Amino acid sequence: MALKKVKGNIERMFDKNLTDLVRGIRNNKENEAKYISECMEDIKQELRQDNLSVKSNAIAKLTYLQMLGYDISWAGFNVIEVMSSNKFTLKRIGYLAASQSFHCDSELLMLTTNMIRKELNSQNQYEAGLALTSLSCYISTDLARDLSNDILTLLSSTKPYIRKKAVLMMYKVFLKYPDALRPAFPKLKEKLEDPDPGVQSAAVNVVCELARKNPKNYLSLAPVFFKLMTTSTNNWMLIKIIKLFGALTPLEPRLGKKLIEPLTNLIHSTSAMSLLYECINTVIAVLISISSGMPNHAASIQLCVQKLRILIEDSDQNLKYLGLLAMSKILKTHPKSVQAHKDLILQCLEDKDESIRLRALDLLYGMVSKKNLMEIVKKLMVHMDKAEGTVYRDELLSKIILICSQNNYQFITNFEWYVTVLVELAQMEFGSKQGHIIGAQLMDVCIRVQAIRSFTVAEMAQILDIYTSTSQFTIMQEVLYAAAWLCGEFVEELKYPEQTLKAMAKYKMLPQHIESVFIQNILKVFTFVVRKYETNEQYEDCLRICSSVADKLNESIKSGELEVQERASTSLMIIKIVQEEFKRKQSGDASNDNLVEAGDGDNKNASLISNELRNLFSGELNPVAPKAQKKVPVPEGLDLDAWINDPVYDTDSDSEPEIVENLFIKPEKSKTIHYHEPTEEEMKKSREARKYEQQNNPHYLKNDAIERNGNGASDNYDNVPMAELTLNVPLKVMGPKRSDKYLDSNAGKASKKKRGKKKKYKSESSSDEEINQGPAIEIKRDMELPEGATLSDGDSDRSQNDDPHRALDIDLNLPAYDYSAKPEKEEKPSKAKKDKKHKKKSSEKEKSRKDNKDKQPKEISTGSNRVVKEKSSKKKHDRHKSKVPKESKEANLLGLEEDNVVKSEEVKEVKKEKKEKKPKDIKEKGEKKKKKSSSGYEEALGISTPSKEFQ
Amino acid sequence: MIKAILVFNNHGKPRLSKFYQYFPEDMQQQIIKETFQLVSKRDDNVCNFLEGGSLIGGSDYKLIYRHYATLYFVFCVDSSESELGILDLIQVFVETLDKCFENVCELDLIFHVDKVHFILNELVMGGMVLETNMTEILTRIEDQNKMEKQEVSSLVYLIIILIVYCLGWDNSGSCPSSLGRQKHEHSPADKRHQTPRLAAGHQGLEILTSNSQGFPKPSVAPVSPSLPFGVSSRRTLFC
Repeated sequence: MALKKVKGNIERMFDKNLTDLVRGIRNNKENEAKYISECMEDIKQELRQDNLSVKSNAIAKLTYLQMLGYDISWAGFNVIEVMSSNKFTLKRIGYLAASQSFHCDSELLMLTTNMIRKELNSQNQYEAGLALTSLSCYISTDLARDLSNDILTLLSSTKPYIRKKAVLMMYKVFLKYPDALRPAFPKLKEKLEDPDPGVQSAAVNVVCELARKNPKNYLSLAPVFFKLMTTSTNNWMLIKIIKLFGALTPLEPRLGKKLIEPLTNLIHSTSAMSLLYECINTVIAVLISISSGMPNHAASIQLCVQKLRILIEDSDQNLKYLGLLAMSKILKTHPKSVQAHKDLILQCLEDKDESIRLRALDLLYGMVSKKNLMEIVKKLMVHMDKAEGTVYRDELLSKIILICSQNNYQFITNFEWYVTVLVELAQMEFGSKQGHIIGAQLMDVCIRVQAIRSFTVAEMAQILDIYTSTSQFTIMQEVLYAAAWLCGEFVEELKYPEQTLKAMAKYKMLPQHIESVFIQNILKVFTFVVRKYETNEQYEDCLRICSSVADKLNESIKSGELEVQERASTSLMIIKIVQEEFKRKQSGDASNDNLVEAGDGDNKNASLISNELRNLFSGELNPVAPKAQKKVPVPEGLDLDAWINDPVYDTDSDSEPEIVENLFIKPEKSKTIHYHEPTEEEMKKSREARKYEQQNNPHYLKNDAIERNGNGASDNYDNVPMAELTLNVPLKVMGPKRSDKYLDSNAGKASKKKRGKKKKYKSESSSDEEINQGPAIEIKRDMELPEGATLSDGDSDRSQNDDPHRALDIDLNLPAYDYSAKPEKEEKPSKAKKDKKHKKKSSEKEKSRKDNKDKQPKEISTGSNRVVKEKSSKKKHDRHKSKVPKESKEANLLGLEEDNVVKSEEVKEVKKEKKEKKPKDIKEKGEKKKKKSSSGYEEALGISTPSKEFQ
Repeated sequence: MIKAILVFNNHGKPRLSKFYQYFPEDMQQQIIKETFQLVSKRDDNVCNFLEGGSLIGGSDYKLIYRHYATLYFVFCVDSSESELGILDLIQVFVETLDKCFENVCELDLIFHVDKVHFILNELVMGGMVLETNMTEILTRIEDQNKMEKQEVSSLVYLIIILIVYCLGWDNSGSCPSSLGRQKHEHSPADKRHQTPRLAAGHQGLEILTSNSQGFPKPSVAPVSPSLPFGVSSRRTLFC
């Protein structure tokens, strides 16, 4: 045997160890992969041997290769073998490999359970520690369930090193096995007051992690944390606690009030920047949660902003960054106090560090006012010229637009300026998506602000002119989209329509969606131009224009893109018809000159072909609120769910099958639409009516452009309430009703406000609200029910899988309270003491709230509680709890105080005994704290209890 | 929570990777690559925070890094960690390495990745900060090294080492005792000349409490111009 061992060791000499491997890889830089595959072969050889140290050597090498990206899961079994070695050196290698390569779904983990359990119970603290550390990386649900008790016992180990690791380990156990949380929580809570600072800090860490996701369950711990915060000097722990309070305050504003004072003290006293920063952050969170009613509210904000200014002014980039980050939090609630530091923030825009510049940009959003908007934007434009890197430029651009367009252009006083800025921006280089934003913005401004239309259109015409005439002029193509559309839509504003028409007709090499917009709008401008000539009877010119446009369209007809082709051929046909008409008129003109002379002007006007053309594009355009169509109220007496005819599935197959298909996505809708028609005749009629409506409806394209910026929204049109309503309600009522809503409210508010955009916005929102309250909600529900139900289900499922914390959302107050009431070391006396003191205060404070009726159920519940206590078995406990109906649970929570009163007598005795046993420091704390606690700490206690009332 | 700890050099070669959340190996490599690209673009005098890469984390996550000579130490953390606190932690980590390796340089990390892992395990466990007190950390590491040494000193092993020693076989990787030997052969002074050291500032660990700056400024950590690692000059020492 010994001989074999020696032999093995001698063989081992000739194996490569980790160092050799590393060196080999470094020496074989050219064909690293080949070298490594050779090594892999060696490793496989080594793993086949019996000698554990040989194996461990191989595993150590594998661990290194894993870092380089090689999959080593195939060696899982060997890793476990090495883990089971008796030697710490080898074991360590095995556990390291395990922590690097195992994951919670590994099937091999089953094999490790007993081994790890043995290790956890090892006498040597480092062996147990090693197992804990490693386990924390790959713990699975099974392992968590099987080992949770072992780890729980380690919490009361005599060695702080083990306790510390076990506490952290518990968090991982909770994540995988949420059931462990309830029984383990009291112990965990105990560890918050562990004599060893490391353990204490670990416990704080774990509770913070738990509370971050489910803060409301940990409100009851606030007093403990409050005490820690005021006594501890460990900055790491303080930071965690303060962060935790930041998460708790939104749930309990009164806690925030108590926190302000100690936090401000800390801000003043601490020299550690990290602590200072976290304090400021939490103070901000507190101030956000308390909306008003703080006497020194303004003072705290001022203090925060001042301190942040110091951070931002610091030469250290990290502090600067964090300062700006915190500033942006203040900005949301207290923009004014941040505005005072505009200079500083503008200065940060010049910083060489991009992340700092981006942060400063974020802040700018809130700094803008009517007065300084132009100035700020000008500065940003200058930056834009200097800036390198598209990411930053893109960010700048979207910030400029965001700043200007916020609150519906609230801060813009001069829209001509804004349009000019947009045009300038359009000529700069950006990422691909940015043109889209600028284009949308131009259209939005132009549509919303009537006064600016002529100016914008002139600008747009100029853009088109220059773009088509020279090749050097660079501009984003998406902006051309806006330009073409605006010129077409607001053609009356054009100064030289014919020139623009020519310019537009010279387009070349445009993306599909832009080209189709060009074609459509050429037709609009064409109509306008032709009309002018026709009224003057200049048929020559008409024909000339017809032919020039037709020539261009003939090219587009050959386009490969369907949309372009379709639009081009439609337009072309229209133009050809018009052309014929003009030719006829022209010849008729010559021959029938005398006859026409006799006819009166009206007649002549009516016969103008361009008038008919114009009808294609007539109609005023108004912004439509998102989802407005959905909110059209259902006429009275209409039951959308009722069958009008019994369902017969083979009726009229020719009625737009695509629509029906589309609508099957929303089954109920489809039913109503499909089976609404009582007779064939009516259906035909209404279909025709709808087609006519669609043809003439200018909202078609326009809506697209406004709401979706032209990206394939056409589907939605068929979708809809609109189709359904045309069938049910007389067409004439429907059409105007929709647009009238906005027109009417427009007119109503027009007298109040000057700005077009404002009134429109208001009318939208107000009408939205009105509609919301109306019967329209029912429609919405109908639509959402079939889809919504499944969707939300899926959502919750997914997030549950994603977030293990959801399972940890356990109301810990019950067990926490119960266990603390059990004679557990220090917990009870201290708590009783607190509660006793607190009781006096709270009873005074909250007399008004509590009447006798409240007290009675509490007493009862206390009784039940005590019964449970006597049983004292954890499991029974839980079962019992779950059986208790909800009401009594609440009563139980409410009854906390009273319960303590009942017990306080017994507790007093225990307290006396315990006081002697208690470590000195607690006594000292108690004495020291007396002064403070009377003001700060005690009140903090006072908060925690009312919070339970609310749960 | 800390989601990952990555150490790589100026060329993006991984020197240590510790993921506290499972990723398959190829994904890990991608993350390292992406992180390297994000971090290496940045100057040394800009702030040490980066708002997350796309692969790891998401909006809640931040990359917090420090650049020491030839190495980047990157921690990927979520919002429950204090940014400045993690910067301190990195400093603690590097200083601990410095103590354990006597003037740590990149080569120490290359050849003793396992040791680095063991040290890291005393600082961070399962993504949570375990200990920040450097004396405590060092004691724990010392204790464990002692345990290893006791095992190593078993008779058979000694013989092996003797043979190896006679043969001039370098056995430093798996045998911790030989580490000391190796160090002894090349005096620290010698090493300092040839390789940029990672940590020079030895000012205490209680950075948070004692240091008026709250945390050491980047200048404390020597950001010496990152020479490409003297591979050729050092290789002779090992081969």
